[in-house]
Amino acid sequence: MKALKLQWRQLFILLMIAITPQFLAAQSFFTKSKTFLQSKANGIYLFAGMDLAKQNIATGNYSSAFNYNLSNYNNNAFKPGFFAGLSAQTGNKKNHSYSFDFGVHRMSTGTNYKESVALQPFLGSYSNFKADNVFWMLNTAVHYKTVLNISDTSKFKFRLVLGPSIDTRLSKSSEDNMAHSNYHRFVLRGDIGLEFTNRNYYTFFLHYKQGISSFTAAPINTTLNSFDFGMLVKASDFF
Amino acid sequence: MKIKNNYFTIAFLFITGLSACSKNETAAELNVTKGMLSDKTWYLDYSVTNNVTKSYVGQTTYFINFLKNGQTKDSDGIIGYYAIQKPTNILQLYVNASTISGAPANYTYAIESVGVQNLILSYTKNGAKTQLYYSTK
Repeated sequence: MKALKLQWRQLFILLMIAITPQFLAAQSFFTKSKTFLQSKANGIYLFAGMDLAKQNIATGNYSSAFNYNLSNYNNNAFKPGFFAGLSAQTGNKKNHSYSFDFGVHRMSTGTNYKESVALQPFLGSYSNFKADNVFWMLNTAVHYKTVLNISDTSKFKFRLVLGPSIDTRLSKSSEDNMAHSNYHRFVLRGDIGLEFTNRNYYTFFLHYKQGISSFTAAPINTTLNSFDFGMLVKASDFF
Repeated sequence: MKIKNNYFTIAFLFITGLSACSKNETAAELNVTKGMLSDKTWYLDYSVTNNVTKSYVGQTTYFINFLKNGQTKDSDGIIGYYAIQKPTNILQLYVNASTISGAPANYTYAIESVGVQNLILSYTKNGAKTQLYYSTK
């Protein structure tokens, strides 16, 4: 019995000796990985926030067999959605910097129909096109940022932000619009905004995005406009 | 170089995957039309022939039901089946039914406009076009 106990002890010691190099290697790997992630994450920021979006719609001479009573669909309002994403920022050279943003937006849009059709003798205003009002979008943006000389820039920084962005529609369009392939997959927008950074702890931003290309196929012209406001924090704060 | 090629392949597949949506437009159009039309009672409000409008608003009027299972019945007691098709550029409503006495009542209407609350059908007889304006009240 004593001999058996001794054998178990020897086996345990042998096992420990055998796995120690692997354990140390694994530990070293995780340490290196963490350092690597931290070094890479220095210029990487995470952002999240909410947006307010609206579609301005000019249907032109579009016609279809469908009619939609505009009293149910035309609200001319900005509606709220939300988003989150990653931002890769270049260094701050002479108060100028650039960022590459990738965000996923869940947009809920209001609709502003600029034209209507009549269905006389029925009363009311109608449209042959019904805008979709909920989209999942992948937003890719390149922003130029410059520090504005407002307040003490060593503590607080206000930045003006400018640049183009491309929204890729990830969600399917409604069947009403699938019937005539009304919605484009991509929409180009121009962004302008302000950012406020508090001692590099966090950044609040407010961007206005103006649709440049139409979100819908001709002859319908739809501009997608939105206000995005949210917060940016360094990804390294989370690693 | 190989890694770069892989990136290009992934990017190409991603963009192609996003762009290549299944485009069965006619099927979608027929589906939406059926969705708007079915499980409702449509009341005839107006009929227009040769620019002469007859109003039935406020009166006991003709009505017709279209059920989701493809059945139809109207206020004249005509019962049967309906189908929506698009053989040309115009949506058409086919009704294959029979009267109370069992006589066949088959007809085809053009769907000029369909919505959740308003429906405009038309047909041409002896060279005169008649438009029928229905609403769900």
